[in-house]
Amino acid sequence: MSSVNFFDGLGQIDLSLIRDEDVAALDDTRREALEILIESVIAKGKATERHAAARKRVHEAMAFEDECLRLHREANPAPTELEALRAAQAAYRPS
Amino acid sequence: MSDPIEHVGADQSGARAEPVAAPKKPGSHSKIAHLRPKVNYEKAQAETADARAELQAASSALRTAEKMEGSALADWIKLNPAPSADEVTRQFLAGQQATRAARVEQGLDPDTRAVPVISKSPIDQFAAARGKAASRGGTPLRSNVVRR
Repeated sequence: MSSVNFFDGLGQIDLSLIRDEDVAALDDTRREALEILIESVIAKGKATERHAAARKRVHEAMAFEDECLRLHREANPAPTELEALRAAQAAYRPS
Repeated sequence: MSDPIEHVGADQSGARAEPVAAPKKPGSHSKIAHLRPKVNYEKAQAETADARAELQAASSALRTAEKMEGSALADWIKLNPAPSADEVTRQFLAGQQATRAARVEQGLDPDTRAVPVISKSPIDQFAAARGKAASRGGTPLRSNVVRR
């Protein structure tokens, strides 16, 4: 019984190892299953790349947000306790 | 140099006037940027939120793709089961028989095995090259302690 080998030396799926003559020797059922497997492997590769790009984007966005927060705190410092107390007193002071 | 004398008013009473806030001119603004850093920070927050949402979607898509790949691989393995031990043994024996038949066709002994090569270290090669006689000269390989 002929079969198709698509595992590399590390046990990972490598579609470049599939030979045309092996695929041609398959029956319809196995060929259809192999096509589905190839499509799913390609889809998983794209999903992996998308996930890696998204992680990189999150890391960059977090770093940029940290820098923006630092500049924002420098430009707009938080009120001191005394200022907050005075603001609260002013808010509750009957006018 | 001492500080100037504090002005306490013309009547020397010490009562200070309340500071008068200068009317703000329309269109004037502080020389120190306050709004821009805040706006940038809010934009960065929105960008981080978008990136996190994209990461969530990408993680979900990756899990789905992994499940699909696992399912497809399982189906493939189900259609292509591994050979049993008997099949492996039969294949090995068939290969051996084919080799023997080919040797017979060539007029050779089918069971001839190559002579194993042992003791081929450099010292062994030197000992074999110098011959059996120890009286040839040179350093004898026999121990001089034994000869004493």
